[in-house]
Amino acid sequence: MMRKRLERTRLLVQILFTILSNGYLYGFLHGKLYKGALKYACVPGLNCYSCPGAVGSCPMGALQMALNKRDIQVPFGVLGFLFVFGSLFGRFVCGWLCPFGLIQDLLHKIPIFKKRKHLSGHRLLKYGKYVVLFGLVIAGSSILFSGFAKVPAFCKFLCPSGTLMGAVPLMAADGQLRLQVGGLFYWKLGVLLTILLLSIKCYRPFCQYLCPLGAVYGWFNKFSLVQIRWEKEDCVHCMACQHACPVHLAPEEISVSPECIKCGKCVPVCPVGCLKCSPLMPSRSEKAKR
Amino acid sequence: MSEERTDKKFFQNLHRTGWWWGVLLGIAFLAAGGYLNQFKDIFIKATRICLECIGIG
Repeated sequence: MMRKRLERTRLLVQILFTILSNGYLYGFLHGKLYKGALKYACVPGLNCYSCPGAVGSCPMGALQMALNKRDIQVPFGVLGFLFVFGSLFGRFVCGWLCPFGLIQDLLHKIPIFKKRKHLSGHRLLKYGKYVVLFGLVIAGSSILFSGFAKVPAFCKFLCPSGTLMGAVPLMAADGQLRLQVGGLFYWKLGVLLTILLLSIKCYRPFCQYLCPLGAVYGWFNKFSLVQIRWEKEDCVHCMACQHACPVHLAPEEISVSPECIKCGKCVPVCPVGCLKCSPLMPSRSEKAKR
Repeated sequence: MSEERTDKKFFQNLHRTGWWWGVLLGIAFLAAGGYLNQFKDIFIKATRICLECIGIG
């Protein structure tokens, strides 16, 4: 009962935040981008700012834009957003606020294929998001050129959110853009379709293996304000939490591992109530040590 | 000796207090970004269609 209520609440929050961060309906109808003041700010999730409905900037896009500049500055503005969101939420953003995470969650509910939590080779593949972050986002955007200008390498070659939420609605509304489609678009479409198809079978493959924003927020997981507290003394090691966890984390890894998206699915299944959603507070054993 | 204990306690407690250090640092970075006019660059980029993002550029 509580489990279903939590799932429904999470789905509602995800849908509401997706609508809020992509609520510029005029843009969808006419293929125009929102140009209001909200675009000075970054939204917490992966949300392409070329989505005609997007009302905020994408943090990864903004980071690459800063690295694309000829005179590279430390991107303090973008880092500021990442530090604030990361310190407050950690990967709670991934589990509750990211629009592309919502799309993967919904696809995973489709009742075809036997569901898997991980792909084969998960132990190595999970580091892929750091390769994307350092290789494509940081190094790629700093050194790759197209003509005389640097390119946002992750956005250009990989980001499926840009294809789904930017390219598809813009091209649906603007015939001129459709005429300019070439090999790069079909590559990106292939990447998008692969990820969407994989999402039906495997839980959130993009988030687990490729998302550079998840890699960044994962570093904040251990000390972010939003936490799922595990009372070690009360735990009976039944592993119900691990079975319920969509990424199969052990109780000691819950909320602190960079893989945890703080979805909260582990909390209602605990038979002794040793997992609690709370702002970061000392556990009973820590209090006793003081 | 008491200073060493305080330092040790500070690092032991960092995983609990780290979030607000992160927020403070984030706010400082945001202020620096504003001072260096970086938000204007974000705005300019975000209000033009990114051809690379949509697979054309």
